[in-house]
Amino acid sequence: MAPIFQDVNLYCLLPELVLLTGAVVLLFVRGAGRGSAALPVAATTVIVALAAVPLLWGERAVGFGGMIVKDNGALLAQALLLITALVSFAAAADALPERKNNGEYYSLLLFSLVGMGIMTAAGDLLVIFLGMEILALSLYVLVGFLKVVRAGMEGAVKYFLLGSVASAVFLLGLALTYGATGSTQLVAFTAPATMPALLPAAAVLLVVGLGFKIAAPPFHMWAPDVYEGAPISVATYISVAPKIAAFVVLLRLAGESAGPGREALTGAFVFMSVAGMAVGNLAALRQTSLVRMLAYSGIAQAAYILIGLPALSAGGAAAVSFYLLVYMFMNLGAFASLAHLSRRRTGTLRIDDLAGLASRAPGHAFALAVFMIALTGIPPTGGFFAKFYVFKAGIQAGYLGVVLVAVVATVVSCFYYLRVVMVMYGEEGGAGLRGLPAGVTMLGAAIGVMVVMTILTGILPERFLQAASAAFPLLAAGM
Amino acid sequence: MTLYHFLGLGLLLFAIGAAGFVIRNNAVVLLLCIEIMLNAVNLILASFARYLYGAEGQIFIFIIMTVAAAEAAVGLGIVIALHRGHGTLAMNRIKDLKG
Amino acid sequence: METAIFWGLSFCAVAAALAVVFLRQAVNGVMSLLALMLVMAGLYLLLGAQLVALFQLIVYAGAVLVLFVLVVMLLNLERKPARPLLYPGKPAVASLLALCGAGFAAILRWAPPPGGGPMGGAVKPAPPIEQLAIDLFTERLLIFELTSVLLLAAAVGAIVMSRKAGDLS
Repeated sequence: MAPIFQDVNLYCLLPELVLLTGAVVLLFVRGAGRGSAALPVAATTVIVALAAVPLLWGERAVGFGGMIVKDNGALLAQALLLITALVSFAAAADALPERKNNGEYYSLLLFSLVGMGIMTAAGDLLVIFLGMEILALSLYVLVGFLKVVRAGMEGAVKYFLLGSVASAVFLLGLALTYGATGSTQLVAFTAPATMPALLPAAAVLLVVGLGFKIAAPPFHMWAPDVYEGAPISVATYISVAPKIAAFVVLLRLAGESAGPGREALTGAFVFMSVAGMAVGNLAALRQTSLVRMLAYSGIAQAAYILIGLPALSAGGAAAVSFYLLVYMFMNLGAFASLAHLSRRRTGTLRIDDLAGLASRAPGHAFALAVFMIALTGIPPTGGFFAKFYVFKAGIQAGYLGVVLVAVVATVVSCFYYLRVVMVMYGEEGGAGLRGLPAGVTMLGAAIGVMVVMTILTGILPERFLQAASAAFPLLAAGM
Repeated sequence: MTLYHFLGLGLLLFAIGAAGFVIRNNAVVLLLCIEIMLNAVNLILASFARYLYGAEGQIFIFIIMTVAAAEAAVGLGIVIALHRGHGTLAMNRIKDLKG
Repeated sequence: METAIFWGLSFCAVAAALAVVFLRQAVNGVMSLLALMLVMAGLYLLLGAQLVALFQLIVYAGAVLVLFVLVVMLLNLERKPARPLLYPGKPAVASLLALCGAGFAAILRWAPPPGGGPMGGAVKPAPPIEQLAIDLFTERLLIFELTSVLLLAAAVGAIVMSRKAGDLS
């Protein structure tokens, strides 16, 4: 008889198991809207999963023969993902139509969290692929969740079609990796290959397939349509969570690659970064709709983060994870503000609609201004240090040209980010915004926290950077 | 027969699927093109399993088949909802969103 | 003999794939894909993967394709084929892609196998089904379990998507 496999270590999947249980329970929750138990159950599940993170911290729990490696990097990413989910819950409670605010919505969101938890902790390409698919299938449906909205279905179908092609490209990369090395484990990248000629092609295909999740060229065109068509709470979530998960996978790929695969990988990162900066910034300049502007700005932000990936030897891993942390705070804040301002509106919020917001809702105007300044990269916000560390790592690793492009792109980005601030503070009497809700809401509180954290990461960047580099000790030391 | 014959056929099929995805206009046909691409990947995996590494590759194929089936189910659901909302599946006519 | 079968099957496979891309009506495309699936099953047999060939017939030809046919019939697509056939302005990119693929295939076809070794045509023995099962349920147990999570999420998603807008039960 064959030996029974002994390495079934469910402990290393503790947060995922909690989330999965919650997702299944939510399918049985009846009703929708305020009276329903859906939101409390979902929030409780996420908080319990969040509580499991410190429990596992520092243990580097390994299970299933190295297919799951729950190290500190994975746990840090998971904590960020769960916080993102909580903020998107607050947005959903405010902005989703009552009838659609039901158990299925939260169930699919928890499924996507399971997928991302698997992705960030995976040590095997096939496990990464399955995590990606669990994430993708739930998000496709969430984007089209309000089926009555035509734009929503359009966003969903575009997201689905491009996403499926990106998965097929990733799979081709997986197949070629298997052909080259005889294994799909990430550690096999460094082992001597049977057919080394296939490795560069495999590495490029894997990265391009993952690039869909971070909206990097050539799979970036979905972002504006999906953000505009999806419910705003889902757009908030998609603009942050999948990017964090995909960047952790990219960090692992970049850290494990060697030889010919490494050069191809570096080339792919540089190409995606430069193309993303060009496309994102130039298109963002022309936008009148706030959400589309933020979508193109998200493409550009992902391109800045990509600079840190080929520069792992110069502390790129810490810089990337610090940038991800700050990106979460500022982009989540910007989208949460957008969700707050555009709730119960039909049609998209144009930038000109914000005119005079400073006099009518000074608190929200201030918050949105802080997020815009942080996204530009102006001190004393965290956005400045995020860019600074990534650029510094890029220069030290010898990618001066890319960093110069990024600096020019940052200057260009001032125009569209600061235009929002100018409109809010400089112009009078926009007709677009009437009847903002008064009082403190859950979403308002979340926006407040994001403002504080955005500024705090700018005041004490060293603290956060140290925490980030402690999360990826192997990558920081080994490369 | 060598590994290269099967590898070449697989890559050719993948390229045909990708080209079809880029040029066709009907959402259902785009789904069909994605299926061609996934099948091409399966063929490549099977040939690696046959000529180089043995059993493992076949397990990957089973998993990819399952994923393809799940993707097709969700994708066809989206297509049905799209058809209900827009009354067409021609991608060039489905563009309310721009900028 | 084997060589003749390979060339025959690969000719059919390429023809079927091209038919999916170029036939105007969606239902004809689905039928061409069915032909492609059957040819693929033949190729798997040629590769000594009998179990895969069987699953190809049962899962793909039997289930997935039937789903496609059902949807095409449900939406009555054949009455008004999508016009235009091609997405405006993209054929140039596509022909480039196809050229790349053909070039790549040609390089692989006529590239000399590097120094004999495993490329020469020696094959691994086809694994017994028992071995596959043991691999799947011991070493790759996690992958198997994750697939079930994926199917659950897909089932929930498909139900949410295909339900009529006003219907909540």
